[in-house]
Amino acid sequence: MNQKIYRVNVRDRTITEEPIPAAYRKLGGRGLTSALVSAEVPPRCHPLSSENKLIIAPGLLAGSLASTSGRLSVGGKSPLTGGIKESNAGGTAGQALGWLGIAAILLEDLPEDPEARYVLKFNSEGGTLENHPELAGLGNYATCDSLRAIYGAKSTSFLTIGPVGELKLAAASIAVTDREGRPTRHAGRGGLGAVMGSKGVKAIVLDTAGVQRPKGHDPKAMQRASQRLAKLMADHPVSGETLPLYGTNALAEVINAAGAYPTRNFSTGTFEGVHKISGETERDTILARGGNPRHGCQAGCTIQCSSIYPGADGDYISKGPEYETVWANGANCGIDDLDAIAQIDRLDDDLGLDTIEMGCVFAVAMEGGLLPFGDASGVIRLLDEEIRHGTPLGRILASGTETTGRIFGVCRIPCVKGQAMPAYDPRSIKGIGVTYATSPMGADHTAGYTIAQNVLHVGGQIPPLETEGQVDLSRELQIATAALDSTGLCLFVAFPMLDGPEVAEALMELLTAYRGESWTLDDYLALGRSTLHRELDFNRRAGFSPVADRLPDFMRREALPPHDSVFDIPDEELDKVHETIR
Amino acid sequence: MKPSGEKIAVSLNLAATLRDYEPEATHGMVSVALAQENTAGYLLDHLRIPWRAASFVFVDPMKRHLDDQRSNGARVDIFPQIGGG
Repeated sequence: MNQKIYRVNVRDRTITEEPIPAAYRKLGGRGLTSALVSAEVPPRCHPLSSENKLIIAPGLLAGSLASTSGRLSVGGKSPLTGGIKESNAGGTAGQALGWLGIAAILLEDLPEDPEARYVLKFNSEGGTLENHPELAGLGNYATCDSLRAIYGAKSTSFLTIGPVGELKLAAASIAVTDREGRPTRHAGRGGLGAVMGSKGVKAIVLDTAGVQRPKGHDPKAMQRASQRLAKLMADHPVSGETLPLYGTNALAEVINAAGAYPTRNFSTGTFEGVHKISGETERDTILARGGNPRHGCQAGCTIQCSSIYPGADGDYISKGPEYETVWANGANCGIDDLDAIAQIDRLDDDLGLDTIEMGCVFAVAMEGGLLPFGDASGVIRLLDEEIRHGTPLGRILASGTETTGRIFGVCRIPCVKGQAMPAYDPRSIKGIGVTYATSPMGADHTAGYTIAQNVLHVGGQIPPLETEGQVDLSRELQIATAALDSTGLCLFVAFPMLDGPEVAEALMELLTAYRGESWTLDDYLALGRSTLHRELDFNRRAGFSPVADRLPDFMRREALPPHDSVFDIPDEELDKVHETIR
Repeated sequence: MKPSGEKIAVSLNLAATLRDYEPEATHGMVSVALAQENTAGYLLDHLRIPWRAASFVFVDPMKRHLDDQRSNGARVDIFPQIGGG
């Protein structure tokens, strides 16, 4: 495909267009961001220094007809983990980049003027960089309102940072607008919003006015393969029924029933208030208030697992909070109030914060005595007053879970490589513990989602409390996920993909028809392996050793009710996960 | 097992799409009285839930098979195929 790369030097304010190098033509999304980070970012640099780069890349299928193909990868050296980071998001920007023929945008160097708030705009004629200091300190919602007033609303997509990104704090996210222009989709993990803030870039505007959707190399084959994939997804009970009906939060009840729903800072595996915050209750609440229980974050998605969550007065609060958000700011903080969780979600989106990291921040702070478990109004106050205004306490909290735990003298800190754990306790689901420990991204459930086989009976069954088989399972999933994250497809395509060969066949047909080069399953898995290899190699050069591939010590010593289990997969087994990839 | 005739109380949680089979349940929960020898499979038949619609069953909170028997006071969670993340 005829794609280009833009390098934006924020010091001299130049934008340089380059053709995508031949060696990168079969890379997209995570594969491309990690290749560029690995090749161009000194591994030992400070993440907020001039040597780090923020790299934004849509997937290989971006701009195409394929359902869910608009996910966007953002890469760089993480201020949270100190290692390589790829964080991906839904929303409209991935497709817009595909339409504009942009394979990657690289933000380089640091601005001369630390007060600058640049808006980087791309359209069919190329890129421009304008300083808009009036955007300083605005939340993401107000920023998007201002951008619409300047650049229009009809064909524009925005990537923005909130005040936390401007403060360059390690829990900062990058927001991507949804189809309604709201900043509700986030590249949340790893603090890449702080890297964008360090570059002085407040927003990126993508304007597709007058641009035609790319037809791809073989439009007829592309249409056939797209329709085949869409039908396979619609026919699968997860991507075709429960996700569209209940969203990701359908998981709350089942993970709680499995005794793996981390509650009150990972102190037990079941939450007595789960019914009040479950996906079923969320759907009932949305329907009763006249909200929209089924909403797609990007055009053409056939799953549409999102929703629009109104308050009791029927007015919009936020998008329906996702499973991870509900858990992190709900059970993990002892909060059983869905309306409060929706307000927290709205504040996180507005301030530009990772909802998983922040839920763990508040849970650790609660254990440390800053506020009691269950104090939803206290969390809202800390977000809206301390963090929004950048007070010393607000800056500590927005620096992440590990920093907060240190400040408040807490030793039970649920992090790997400095990144907080998501919504599955690894003592009750040991496969996901292997992924948390060994992913180059830090504790990240999406990097190798063993919940499918450990709990959900998708793609086979491996009992969650046993140690046998978890290492091999996690490795295979980490390879497959690195490949899928390169296509731009949503991870939820993996559910039907794990249950039969047809989805992978359709995906290879799609890649071949769209990109114009032959794709086989071997090519695809090789892409996953090479991407992981680059990421592991970057971390090794950054100073990581196998000691970083461990869960926090308390998870090996402290038995988790109700199974009274500990994480007991030996260190030497964890070291085998990537021994054939490194 | 020989039928004992004794009844035990079980809290039954039907999740997601299975809620449609017991509209009276609050938050999907319903209390049912069962004979000791009744299994989760019996519960499904009693509620007219097709076995293929029940992907997995948890009992306090261990994952079990449809032919496992209950103990008094047990909580039974029955789920359709679910995913997310």
